[in-house]
Amino acid sequence: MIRISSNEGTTTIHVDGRFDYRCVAQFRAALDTGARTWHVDLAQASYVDSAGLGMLLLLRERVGNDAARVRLHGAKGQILDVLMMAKFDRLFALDTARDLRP
Amino acid sequence: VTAIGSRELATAIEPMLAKVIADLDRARALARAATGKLFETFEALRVHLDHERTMYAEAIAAITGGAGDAGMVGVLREVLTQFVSDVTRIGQASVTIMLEIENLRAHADDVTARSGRIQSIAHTTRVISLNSRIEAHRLGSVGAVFRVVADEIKTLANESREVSQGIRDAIAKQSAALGATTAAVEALSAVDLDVAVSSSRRLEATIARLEAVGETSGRALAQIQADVEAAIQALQFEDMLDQLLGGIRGKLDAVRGICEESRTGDVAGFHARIASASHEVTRDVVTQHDVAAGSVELF
Repeated sequence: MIRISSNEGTTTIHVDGRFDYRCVAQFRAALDTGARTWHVDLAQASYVDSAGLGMLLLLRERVGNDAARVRLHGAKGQILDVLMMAKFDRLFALDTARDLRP
Repeated sequence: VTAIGSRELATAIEPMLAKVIADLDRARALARAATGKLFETFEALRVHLDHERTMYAEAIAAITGGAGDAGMVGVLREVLTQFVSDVTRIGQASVTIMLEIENLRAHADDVTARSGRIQSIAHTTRVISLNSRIEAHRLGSVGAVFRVVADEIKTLANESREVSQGIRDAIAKQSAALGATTAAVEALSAVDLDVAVSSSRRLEATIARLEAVGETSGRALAQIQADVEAAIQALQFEDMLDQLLGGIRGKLDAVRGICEESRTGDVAGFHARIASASHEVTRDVVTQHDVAAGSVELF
């Protein structure tokens, strides 16, 4: 499930639970905000599949493939493993749960 | 000795000495043969170990890779990476299709709404047609023209209603097709990447285990090889033993020389033989008295 919040040109997509094809409709609504920069909060996400990765790549395309304009936060466990396996750390600004630990 | 006579003594001792010398020669021959065989065996073992180590190193390199060669592990890594890359691109394409299908649905909803408007217009037109017919009937023969117009309007209203219904039916079929397409694309996009992640982890764990086994085996093989080398070096004591036995034989020959000299009756020669034999018997034949690997001292 996806929840969207916007603040000063930045839209944050909060993912809760599974990040898969069931989130596409809400993702579409997020794209309509036309934000300049994006944050994707994955701290509460529990699973990501190829559709989830596909949505992140579309988001990246939306900002002209500028890695700095899409920041992924709080990935851990299965989510972090899959992101690293897909080498998303080279495509996005990636802050893992470990990075955010005080 | 004087009472018995040196000749008798020499005659008695000499065959004994000859027998001891013969046994000593046999012992030397046996020692040579045994150490020769041991040397040959250890040398074969050393060559075999060399071969094993080379083969093992080649097998490990074929698996984990080496200079300019990714090895089997490298190939598997590439396959996994390619799989994830392909699946991710399929996921992106699938989501794009799902978004486009959503757009098509929105367009279809728009068309449905517009066809609803057409139906509403058709209904109104039918009402107008009906009213016109009523007016035509009321006017009698004067209203005949209105009746014709009312019939035409009614025909147009019916056609509009049929066209509108046709559009709605087509949209309904399209929606059903889009629903089926969406389901197919959703299934296509839902590729679980955990398999790739767990395969990658198992691969790395296997490599680590293989490297650990390789290291342990390599150390064990190196130790065995060092032990064999030490054994081969230790076998050089055969040379020392042979010299020692040769020295003993020389001493026995010197003693036998005394016996031979005693039978000649030459007293001066006899004493000279005793002095010479005494010197020979007391001489050290080897300077080293134990076998320290790698430091056999011969003279």
